[in-house]
Amino acid sequence: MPRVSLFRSSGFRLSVAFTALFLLAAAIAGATAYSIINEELHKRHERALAEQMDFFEAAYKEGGISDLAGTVEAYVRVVRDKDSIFLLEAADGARLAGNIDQAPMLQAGRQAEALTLGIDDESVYFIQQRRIGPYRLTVGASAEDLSELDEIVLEGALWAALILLAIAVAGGVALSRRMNDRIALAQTALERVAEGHFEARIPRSGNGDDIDTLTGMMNAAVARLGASVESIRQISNDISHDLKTPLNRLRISLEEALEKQTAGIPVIDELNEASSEASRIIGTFDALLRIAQIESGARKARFETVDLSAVASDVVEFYRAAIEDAGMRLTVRLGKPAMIVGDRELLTQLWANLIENVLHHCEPGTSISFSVEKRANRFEVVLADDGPGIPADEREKVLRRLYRLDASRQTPGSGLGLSTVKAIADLHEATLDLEDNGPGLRVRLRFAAAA
Amino acid sequence: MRILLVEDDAKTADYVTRGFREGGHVCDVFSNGQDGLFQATRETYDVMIVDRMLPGLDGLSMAKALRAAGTRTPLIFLTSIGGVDDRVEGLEAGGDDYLTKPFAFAELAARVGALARRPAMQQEVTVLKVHDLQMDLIRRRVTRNGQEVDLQPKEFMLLETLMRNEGRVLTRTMLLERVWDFHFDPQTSVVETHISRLRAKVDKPFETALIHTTRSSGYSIHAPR
Repeated sequence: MPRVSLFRSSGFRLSVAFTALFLLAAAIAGATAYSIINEELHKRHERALAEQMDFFEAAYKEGGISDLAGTVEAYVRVVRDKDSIFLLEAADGARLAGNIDQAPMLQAGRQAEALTLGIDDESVYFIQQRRIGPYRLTVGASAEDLSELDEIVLEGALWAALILLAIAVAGGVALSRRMNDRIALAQTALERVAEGHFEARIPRSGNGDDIDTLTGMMNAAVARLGASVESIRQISNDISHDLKTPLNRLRISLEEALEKQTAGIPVIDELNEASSEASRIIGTFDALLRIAQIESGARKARFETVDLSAVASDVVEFYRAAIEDAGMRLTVRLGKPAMIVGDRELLTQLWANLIENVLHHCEPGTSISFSVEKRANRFEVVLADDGPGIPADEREKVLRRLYRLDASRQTPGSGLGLSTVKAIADLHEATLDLEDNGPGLRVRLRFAAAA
Repeated sequence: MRILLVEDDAKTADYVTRGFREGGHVCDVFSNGQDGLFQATRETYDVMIVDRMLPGLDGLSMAKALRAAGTRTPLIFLTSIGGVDDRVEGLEAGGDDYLTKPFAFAELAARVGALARRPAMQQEVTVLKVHDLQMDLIRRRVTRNGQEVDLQPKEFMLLETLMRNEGRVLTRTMLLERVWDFHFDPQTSVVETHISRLRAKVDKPFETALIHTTRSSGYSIHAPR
């Protein structure tokens, strides 16, 4: 399986996409801030110039042209370089005072290129002009600070972008490395699963994030798949091992019949034996297929609300006579209706199998108790006997198909009763526990109550 | 009885027809669904026996087509083993009974016999009588030779089922289905136990036995012959 390259990994792509988005957002925010600051600076310059102009006008009103010219000259002396510019012109355009030589007539413009003012520079000025008496006064301030602002903003934005980009790339690489590592773990595990190792699991980070959750689900799916494959493998094994013996017995009976027939001896016994052996084989086969069908889950489509107590009561009544005839005692404790969602027919079979199990494996004198009780949201069904029981280390195994305890090899039964019970319990998502009844066996089933 | 058998397995078909013909019945065989459907609409039969898996047209579709065409002839499905849902599907498609392969001929014969009698059974009956045994279905009372016989509800139902099929053999499986609504084979001989309890009440105290065990594990009720 090819590994995903760094730049094609979803982690990297995601972080790049996020960086682009973040940069766009930052650019919009920066531009907005810039235009607000720019506007504010403009207004400030305008106000400062207007105040200066008012001051000059006041000087003219107080002391005439000589005071005005004097004031302008005084300002010019104070000003360094050309931060501020002044020009006082007579009505005919003659220069009376100031630190520049010319000023174009400005209509509505608020800014002027330095060159138009006769300054050998590339800077820009805010300009205000006013007529004071017959004179024209031009006052200006360098817009140097504005271009400085431009520079600062641009430079800042550039650096911010660079830093963001660097962090994003580094973060993306780190993130995608981490993701790639986790994906690689999943790939390794899934490759093993593809090779048939259904015990392989994807290691979980345990942090509960989406990938961790997905990993958990994949593991569960693999586990289920493994169980299905195992069940199929098991059933093929069961059939090949456990049906071979009776098939062989069948063949022996038939061969004996053939031999006797050639010798002219009646063969009715052998044929009867063969016939009942064939019935047993069919019975086993039928039960195996039934279990497989139950396990497939298709039956769930027919689930409906069923009263566990009623089903149990029907089955118990059906077997009561047989139990009494077998010299056993039966105590039944059924509570109120116990509604669950399930399959009546299969549940009937479940109780029947459990009771038959007792009938097959217990001696006369055995006490059997059967009860259905509600505990919290669950219905607990218990069938207990004081018979021989099942050794602790065998309790798991008896649920397997065709597994039989050595002690019960000689009693009738296919070895499929309890595995059918297990399959039906699983289909109903009920828990099935085989416990020690000290002495005897206690089978405990817990069903979820219907909503 | 005229029986239509639609079955593609030659061996099974031969086994079944031989059985019915020996019993004095007419049995026509067709090996595919289309021919079977055609024949079923052309002639009148008492019972149809249809395999689920057929070439041409499968048994379910054949049954649906027949029912859609208004044919009410009782139909029994033959299904392969292990099909847990086969019974329900078969009944939904218009079948009246089903039998799992492989089967004993006696089982099929008993079911066919019971099916063929069905229309007569649907008449309103309030009292069932076999020899000196009488069952009042309304009062839920059973008397034999005028003597009251006290029965448990399931015993009553078991006896009723037998009496409604007087003279016919009902197999263990048929009784399980009809009396207890159980659709699987218990490993133990519980039906025998119930029958023997019923006998203890219905037959034992009296001179003649009415409930009879027939070979291949079936039961019937009839007057002494």
